[in-house]
This record gives sequence, C-alpha cells and structure tokens, in this order.
Amino acid sequence: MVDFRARSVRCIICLSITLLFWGTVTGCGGNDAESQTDDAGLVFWAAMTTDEVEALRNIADEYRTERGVPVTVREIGLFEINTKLELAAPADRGPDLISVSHTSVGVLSLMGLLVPLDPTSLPLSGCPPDLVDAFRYDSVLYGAPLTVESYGLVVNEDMLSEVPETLEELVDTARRLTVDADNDGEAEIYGFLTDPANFYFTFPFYDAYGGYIFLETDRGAVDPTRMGLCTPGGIEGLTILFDLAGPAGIIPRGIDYTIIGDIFGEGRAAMMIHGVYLIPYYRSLGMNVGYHPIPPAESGGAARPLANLMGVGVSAYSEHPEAAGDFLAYLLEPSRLRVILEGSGAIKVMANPQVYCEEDFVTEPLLSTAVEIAGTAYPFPNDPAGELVWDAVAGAAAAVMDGSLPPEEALCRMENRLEIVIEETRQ
Amino acid sequence: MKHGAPFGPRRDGAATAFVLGTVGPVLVLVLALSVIPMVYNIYISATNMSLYHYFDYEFVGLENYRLIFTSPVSDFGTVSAWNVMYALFSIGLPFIIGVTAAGSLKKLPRTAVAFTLPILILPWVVPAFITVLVWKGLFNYHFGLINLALTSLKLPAVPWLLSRGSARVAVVLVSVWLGVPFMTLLAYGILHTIPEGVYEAASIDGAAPSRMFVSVTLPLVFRRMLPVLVLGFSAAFNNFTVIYLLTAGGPMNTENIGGAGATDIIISHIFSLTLMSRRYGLAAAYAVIVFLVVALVAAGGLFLLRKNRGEAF
Repeated sequence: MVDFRARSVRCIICLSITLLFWGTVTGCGGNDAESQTDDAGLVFWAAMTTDEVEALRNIADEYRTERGVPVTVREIGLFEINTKLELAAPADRGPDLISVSHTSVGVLSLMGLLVPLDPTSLPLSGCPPDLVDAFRYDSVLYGAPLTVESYGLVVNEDMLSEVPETLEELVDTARRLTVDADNDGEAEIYGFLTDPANFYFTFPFYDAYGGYIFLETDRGAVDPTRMGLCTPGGIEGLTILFDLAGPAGIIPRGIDYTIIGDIFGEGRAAMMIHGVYLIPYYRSLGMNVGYHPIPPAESGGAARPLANLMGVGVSAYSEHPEAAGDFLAYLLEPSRLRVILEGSGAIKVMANPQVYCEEDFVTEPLLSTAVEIAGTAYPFPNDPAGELVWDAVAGAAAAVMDGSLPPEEALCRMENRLEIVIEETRQ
Repeated sequence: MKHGAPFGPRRDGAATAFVLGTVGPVLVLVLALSVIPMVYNIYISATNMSLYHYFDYEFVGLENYRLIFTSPVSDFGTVSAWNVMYALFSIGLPFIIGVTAAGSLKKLPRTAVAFTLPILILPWVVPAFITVLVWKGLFNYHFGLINLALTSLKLPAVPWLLSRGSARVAVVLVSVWLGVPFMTLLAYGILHTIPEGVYEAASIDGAAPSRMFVSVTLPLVFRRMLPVLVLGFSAAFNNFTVIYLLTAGGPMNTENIGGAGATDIIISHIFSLTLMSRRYGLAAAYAVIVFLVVALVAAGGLFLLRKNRGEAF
C-alpha cells in the first residue's frame, strides 16, 4: 500500500513537472510584439537610426496632440523587419505602419502584407515620379518614399585633383596611380577600389554600356523573364571590371567593402565607389574627400548607380488602416520630414527635395551632389525575382575574376539559368 | 494487498496514469510540433506554392519531384552527391581520429590522461557557432592567421573560402574539428570495455600494433558506436550551422552560376529555395527527400544493430 502511495506521489510529481515544462514551452507567447499592440492607437515599426526614431516619436507626439490618436514607435532592425512582419501581422501582433525598402514591396504585396495606398491622398507631389513609382508593384502603390540611398565616386582629393570624365579614363587613372613599390604583387597604393562581385556597387559599369537587369515594360514595372546582362553592354561592363580586378588588374582578389573602407581610410586609395554617408567619418580622420557622380562611358552611356529607397507602408492586418493612412499623410508633409532629417544628423538624401532649405546646401557642400546622384540613380527592380539577381551576378563576376570563365560565358550561363528558374517559379 | 502479483488492477491503473501523465504531453507536443508540420510539408510539396502563388496555389501532384530530378536548372545531383560526401567525411574522419586518439590516451598514465583529456574535449565545450565564426576568420584570404602563416613561410596564400575545392576542404575541416572531441571521449570509454585478452590473443598471433588497431580496435569500437555513428550521420547530413556560418553555401559553382553553391548541402539549399527563391512547394519536396534519406540511414543502422546483437563485443 505504502509502495502504491509512494508511486502515486511520484506519478503526480512527474506529471506536475511535465505539465510545467509543457506550459513553459507552449505558454511563452508573451513576446515583446504582444505588448506593442495598442487598441487605442497606432503602432509604427521603424527601421531607422535611434536618432531618427526619436525624431519620429516627436512627430508622433505632435500628431497625438493635434488629432488625439497615439502612435507608438518601435525601432526594429532593417534586416529583421520583414520577417517579423510576416510572422506577427497574421497573428494580429503586427504594426499598423512599417518602414519598407522599395525592393521589398513586391514580396510583401504578394504575401498580402501591405495595403494599396491612394497616391492622391498623400502629399507626394514634391517627390520625383520615378521615386514614387519604385514603390509600385503591378501598377499599385504600396509605399511612400522617405529617403534615397545611393552611391558615387568617393575621391581622396589629396591624391587626385582632377576627377576622371569617363569610365575608360577612370580605369587608366586607376592604373597610373596604383603603386606596388616592393613588387610583391600586392599594391601599397591603389588608384581605384571596388568589390567586383558586389553588384550593388558595380551596376554602373554594366549600365554605362547598355546592360540592364530586367527589361522595363512600364513605369517602374519590369519583365523578370527578360534579363539584359548577357548582352553586348553587360559583357562590356564585366570586361572592364575584369581589367580592373582580374589576374592582371589592380584590385586585389577577395576584397570586400570592409577592407576597401579601411584602405581608403588609411589614405592608400585615390578613388572608390561608396555611399556619401561615410564621408563625415573620413573627414574626421583629417582627409580631404570629394564626392562625385560616377563618370559615363566614353560612348556617352550614363553610369547610373543603383538606388535603395526607404519608405513607409501600411500593414494589411492593421485594424485602423484609415488612421494609419492619415498619420502617413501627416508624416509626409515636408516640414515634418525635416524633423527626421535634422534628427538624423547625417548627410541624408530625402525623396522629397522640398524638405531641404538653401542653408542645408551651404552647410554641407556635398549634399547637392548626393541629391543630384539620387535623382539620376536607378531604383533596383522590386519584382521578387530581383532577389535572385544579387548572388547570381556575384557568382558570375567571381568566376570571371578568378579566370574560370570569360565574361560572356559567365553572364550568359547565369542569365539562361536564372530565366528558367524565374519561369519555373512563376508557373 | 497481494504482494506476489506485480500488476494488480490498481497497479495497472497507476502505471497507465504514470505513462499517460509523463509521455502523453510529450506525445502531444511531438504530434503538434513534428508530425502535423511533416504531414503539412508533404502536402505543400504536392502544390505549386511560391511567392507568385502564395494564396492561390494548386495541387500539382509530383511535379516538384519531377523538377528536382529532371529540370535543367535542378541542383539536386551536385548538392546531394556533395551532401553524402560531406556527411561521410564529417562523421568518418572524427571517428578514425577519435579512436586513434583514444587508443593513444589509453596507453598514457592516469595523471597524463587527466591533463590531456580535458584539453582534447575543449572544442566541444565552446558553442559550435562561435567555433565556426573563429574558423571563418582564420580562413580569411587576406587577414586569416592560416594564410598569414603561409605567406610568412613564403608559401602562396590559399583561397580557402573562395574556390570550390578549398572551401569544401574547409567545411570538412571545421566539422572534423567539432566532431573529434565527442568521438574521442566516447571511444576512450569503449576501449576500456574491450578485454585485454583480445589484444593478447592478437599479439600471440603476431599482429603488429597497426594491424591490431585496424583489425581489432576499429571494428570493435565501430560496432559499439554504430548507433552514435548513425545519429551522427543524420546530424552531419543536416549540418546547417557549419555550412551557413562558414560559407553560406558558397562559393559559386561555375557550372551552375546562380544556383546552389559549391558547399551547399540539401538543407542549406532548402533554406535558399525558401527564403531567396521562395519556391515553397519545391523546397518542401526537397525536405521530403531529406526525410526519406535520413529515415533510410536510420533504418539501415537499426538493421545492422539487430544483425550484430548477440556478438561478444
């Protein structure tokens, strides 16, 4: 009997422990997203810097005072924001408004996570139409642009006083300035640096000779089954890169942007392709740095940089889509965007140029160049197939740079394959 | 109370309650977190679900399996061949190194073992992802310690993670590094259970130490470690951590630019298909194939175990 009781007690203890474990595993639903839901107001997931988020909170406070609707702003990392939205929104734990990169618009809209926006209800008239179109997918607007990130030719003006006027001249200048004094095969001074496998930064080389990513069919719309890198223009662009970074080139093998930034900061590179945001850092090192548009090809073909736009969308799972749209319209007023610009404290290109005042261009002489570059930059296509292009072109470029394949074969192999993959995916 | 009968009616009830109370919740959890997703995965593998058909996907039968085996852009052949090779090396080399190290340890005095064994198992103590990231730094072409050492010896730098062959060697090396401590520890314990008489008999028969190792130690330890090796093979077959953190599947294969990388194994390829290409149906079909392979290996292991049951060592 005693034995049976003891067994029963042990059984109950075991059962309790198991249930406790079970409860711990299954009952931990109280994640931080849960506390974000605020039935009384709006929730904004912002992928911005801490300073920008603070500025956004100030705008939210003003909005609450004026319209009586509280807006909770939460800072979320750019690389995790889409994944969090995918999981949280269908579970009713997501935001009402969210920071979106224009390249995510295709994916998020196909997943039914963003609501279409009415462009007439938003103060977008000051934005260049191309920048607004970058947030359209299938001709429908899913986001409103706030800022534009692009890049240009960053020049150490202590090493180079005259900026090359063509891409061909850039290559010649780069060769002339590169110095390998000890002849060990690794230069001490570089005329020009870029990562040949990083398609974001090398796109201007393809673009300048007529290469393109996907065939454009309409304003901001593309046909992802028709690529344009296995074309004479695309092949010419990769050939120039091969001259720079192949076995007989001046750019060292396996280089990436961390290394490039360091070499430039040490004053060992005359030119590199980079964003404007790094320039204040180089100035703080006492360097005399200039920022210029990437020069066109000798034939006159513009070497447009790629652009990545950050904007705001409204969640399809928002319980207050109209209020969210109202806050978005409120936020997009140039005077309020200026609060974010001032809060950021960086050289920032706003999608709406009306945000700037004349003094901004005097205080920061490079701002006008940055705005000019952003105005001519090409927003990367937001079709979901675009996500496949980055690694594929990187692979083709890497195969060319290490001498495994000639440019034409690498690009055409890559493109033929990618077109079949995209076709299969769409079926 | 009737003491002689182990299972009276009340005891039966208590035992049933105990089993239900302890195993029941776990069964429910396994059902909810493993079986239902597996069945759902099989269903998705028979649809054309992708980002372009996120809501309006249709039943397509075995179309995804047909694509895996016949599509001109399928990477199944290259990825699976490398996957099997990687799993075999990742489990086979640590086994051989571990048994060798354990054999050497056994010959050392106890005080020396007390000092050496903790050092040998040190890589096992460090979390795997940290170890992999450290190795990634060591393999860096420009700044990695390995290449710096090579160049200081006037030897050429090796593009460890940049070319297909060396990247494959690198991922196997890291997997071996992670696997050896466990194998050593296990083999060391097993070696102590092999009677000395077996070695004495082999010695009388004129077997040299190397012959004894190959013909006595390895087979005996192998038999005992078979369940571990089968489990280890399954784990190595799906070792996403090492591949993803060290090479992210790269570098690119020149034969299939834009497809699976040179070190991609099926599980990392599934990751790309799901999160990059967003071909959910195809990725699910790959997952079913992985499941079948691992199940077959496990079944084969069980068969061998049963076959060997009853043998002396």
